[in-house]
Amino acid sequence: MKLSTRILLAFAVFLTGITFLHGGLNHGWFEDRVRARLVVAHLPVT
Amino acid sequence: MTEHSTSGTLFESKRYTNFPAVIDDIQAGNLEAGFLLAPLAMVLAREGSRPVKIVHLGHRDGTCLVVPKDSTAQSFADLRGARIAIPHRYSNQRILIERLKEQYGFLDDEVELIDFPPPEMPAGLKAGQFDAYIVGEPHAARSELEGFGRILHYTKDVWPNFISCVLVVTQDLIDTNPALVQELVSGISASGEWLDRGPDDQLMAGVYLEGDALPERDPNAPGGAGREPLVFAPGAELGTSARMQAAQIGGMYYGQPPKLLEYVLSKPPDRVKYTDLSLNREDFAEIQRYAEELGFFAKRPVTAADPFGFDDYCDPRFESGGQRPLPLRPLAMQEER
Repeated sequence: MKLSTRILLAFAVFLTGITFLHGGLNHGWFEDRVRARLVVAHLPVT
Repeated sequence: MTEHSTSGTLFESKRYTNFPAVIDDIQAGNLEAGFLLAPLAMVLAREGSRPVKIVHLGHRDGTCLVVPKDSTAQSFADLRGARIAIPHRYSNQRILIERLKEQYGFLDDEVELIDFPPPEMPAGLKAGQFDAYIVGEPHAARSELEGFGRILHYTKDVWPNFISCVLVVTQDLIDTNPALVQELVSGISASGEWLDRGPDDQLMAGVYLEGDALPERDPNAPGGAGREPLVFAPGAELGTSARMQAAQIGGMYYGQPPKLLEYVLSKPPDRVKYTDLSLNREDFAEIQRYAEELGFFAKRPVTAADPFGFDDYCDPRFESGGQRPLPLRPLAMQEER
């Protein structure tokens, strides 16, 4: 395999890995933060 | 959905043991929404350090005046000279007692009112610490079911459409995120409609019948994704009705016997009501009249120069926002397993 092809393949693998890592981090870290949260207080009596 | 979420807001229910703690957290900026006694909410709107507004009711009726089972009292008229426990000096239960005093021609000192924690009222009645108590459910029904108490009056009979707790949110939240407030009110309205008029052949998400195949992890489990799914057997009387399901859910969350909550939600069927929860000017005008007469606003009296009215403590705009669809699934799907 020519050196230029190997370099291109290595770069493609690197980009793919970075893309999945970035997407995974977004999903894992930010998923719940997309949802608003609100605490609602109450007592156990009507 | 809100503009901040494509999946719907996560509403976390936080249980408190007393109303002052709720108010303290609101004032300190640690809490933006909660259920409070209606007159207490009005006092907070009038005198609190953080502006708040009532945006919806919690329910109607659902309060009872309870006497010992062997009491000879047949109506409030027989409680002249009695010592009556109330949940809070700024409660509609206190205002109801005042209405009854007016109706039966009592003098001011012909009943003695004492503040008493609602969960401890049944024991207090049994121990003879007072002659009667008035409180929201399920603490009235507890005395009945334990065999030593008797309902003297249901509020539905002496003050129809009685208001006890109301939903309060901070003005900050209304101003910065009205869509979220709308989502909250729409959800509560839909839940109330389900409780009072929901179909008997649909199950709430996270609720299962005995014998159903249970999911390994149910994000819709009542109480949160980490909780076990709620499994129950249809009741003899309530079957799989919305109220039966609500009794199971409430029992799990409050740690109270589902049978107690089933009783509250069915004996009689109109003991407590979760529909017709819109804010009504006439209702609040009456509450405010009594609140002023009883000195609830003593720190900042209502005067012509410093008026106070419905629009100062209520924001009804969210009630026209419709109801959110609830995560219900047909019961028939269970029979296909």
